[in-house]
Amino acid sequence: MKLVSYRAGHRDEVGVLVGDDEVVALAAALPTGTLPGSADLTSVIEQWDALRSVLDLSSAPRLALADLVVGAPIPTPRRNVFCVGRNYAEHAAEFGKSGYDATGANADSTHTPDVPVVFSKPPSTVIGSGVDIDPHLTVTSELDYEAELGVIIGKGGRGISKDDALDHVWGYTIINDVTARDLQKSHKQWFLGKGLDTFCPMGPWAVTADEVGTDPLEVTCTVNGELRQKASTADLIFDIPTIIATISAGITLQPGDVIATGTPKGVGIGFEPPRFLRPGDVVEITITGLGTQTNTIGQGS
Amino acid sequence: MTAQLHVEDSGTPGPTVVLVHGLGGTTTFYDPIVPALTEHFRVLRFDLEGHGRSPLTCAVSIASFTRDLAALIVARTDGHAHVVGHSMGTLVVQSLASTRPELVDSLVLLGPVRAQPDAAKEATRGRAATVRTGGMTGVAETVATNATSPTAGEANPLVFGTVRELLLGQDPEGYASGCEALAAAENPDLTSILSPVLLLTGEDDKVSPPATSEAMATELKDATVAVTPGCGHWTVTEAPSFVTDQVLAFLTS
Repeated sequence: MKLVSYRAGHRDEVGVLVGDDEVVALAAALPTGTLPGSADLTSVIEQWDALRSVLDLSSAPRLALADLVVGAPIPTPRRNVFCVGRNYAEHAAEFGKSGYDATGANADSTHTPDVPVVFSKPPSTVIGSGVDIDPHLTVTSELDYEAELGVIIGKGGRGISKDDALDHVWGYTIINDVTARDLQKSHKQWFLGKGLDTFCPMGPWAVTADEVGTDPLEVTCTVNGELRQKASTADLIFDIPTIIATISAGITLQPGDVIATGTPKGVGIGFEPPRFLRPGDVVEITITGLGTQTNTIGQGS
Repeated sequence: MTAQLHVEDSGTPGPTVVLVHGLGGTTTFYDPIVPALTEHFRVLRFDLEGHGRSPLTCAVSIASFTRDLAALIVARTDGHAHVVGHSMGTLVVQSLASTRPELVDSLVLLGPVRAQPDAAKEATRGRAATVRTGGMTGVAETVATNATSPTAGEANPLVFGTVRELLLGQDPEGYASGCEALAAAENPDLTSILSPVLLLTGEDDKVSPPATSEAMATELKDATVAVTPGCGHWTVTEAPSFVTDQVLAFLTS
């Protein structure tokens, strides 16, 4: 099932995508009183098992997707988006070679980490597909993209084992881990370079784990129509269970937490010379079964 | 939007309220509440196709009225508005909130109605036949008498004349088409309306008795019911101060 978050008048609503171009409001497909008022996807995820058992999409009116302003599926996460760095071997190598990794990581030819590299982006980075990415022209001149599979946690917990990890996954979405490379490098820690406003395009929607399945997914990213990244999630160095086990070892995961699993080879700094994003550039990311996320680099203010 | 629709735009730019009159009404129906609304809102109102100053150009239905309303909001606002309907107009605004929720901030239903029972449908179609042969006179007298409260009429003798004049001013074919649109109406899906809704009806309303509003409220997610004392179906005409206060309090809350 694909879930979208959209604006309705003054309200934020959650809907279910039906086919390619229709939406049913979730609250309209549930018995009256099941979902009080307007809901955000995080609270829907918290009650998902109960809601899903009484969900009836057959009688509620179909809304035209084209009429709706769809935002990020989780427009304002309750806390930071977790991210994993250097999680595809070829990307780890290109990143190491670029000279932009200032974390003091081993500069051998593979640049492959021994344990997952985990950082985060604040909730204020999140925007929906179709919203302009702020180029922050006075802050950075080295704007880059990173197409990633995002995992959405359903059932929270601490000390989640690798074996149990996929039971804690509610679903998936597309994340663009937009990065200011100059800030990432000069400030050593990645938070600032990864954490600027609008630096986390999410969506266009969230897809439940049962619909996505467990087969590897293809991640592609184009800039102005030119293919830059193309990889399979089978090539993740640390797979999703390992990432969940690593983070949850000491941090209690919560329903609605989002984990971006890392980007494959083909980011801007992988080219010589680097190919940074400029105002007007269009970044389009597609992942098998998760739709296509399209964001334009804004003109700046 | 049908180009020939008569639209009135008042108040200052900003949050917008769109007013939809009922069968036999025009924008004028809302005159008593517009000055107070324009202190807080931009107010858009229009004559439904076939009513008042909007000529009949094609077959009308609740769906066609709803499309016109949606097109007006898309074309003339920043994409959403508070929407107020009266009588048959409440079917139009319920339909809008159910099928185009992105356009609706909140709903006000004045004299809320549902699709008519079969007997009433027959009577409504009979009324269409009556005005096609005999013009608006007979129907105007009947509506002005039966759909208003004697209490309101005694307190303000202008009530009868105002309602009668609204009806008399209608093009008989436009009014007859409106009757057929009402008789053909199906119930909008109330359970799919997620915006806040104010249902305001008259204590003496025979077309939309308080029990109808109470029943509708149980199907809505976020409903408030208000009953106007000594008032019939023509709420704004009969109880302008009460309606103004209730609507303003709801829209500004």
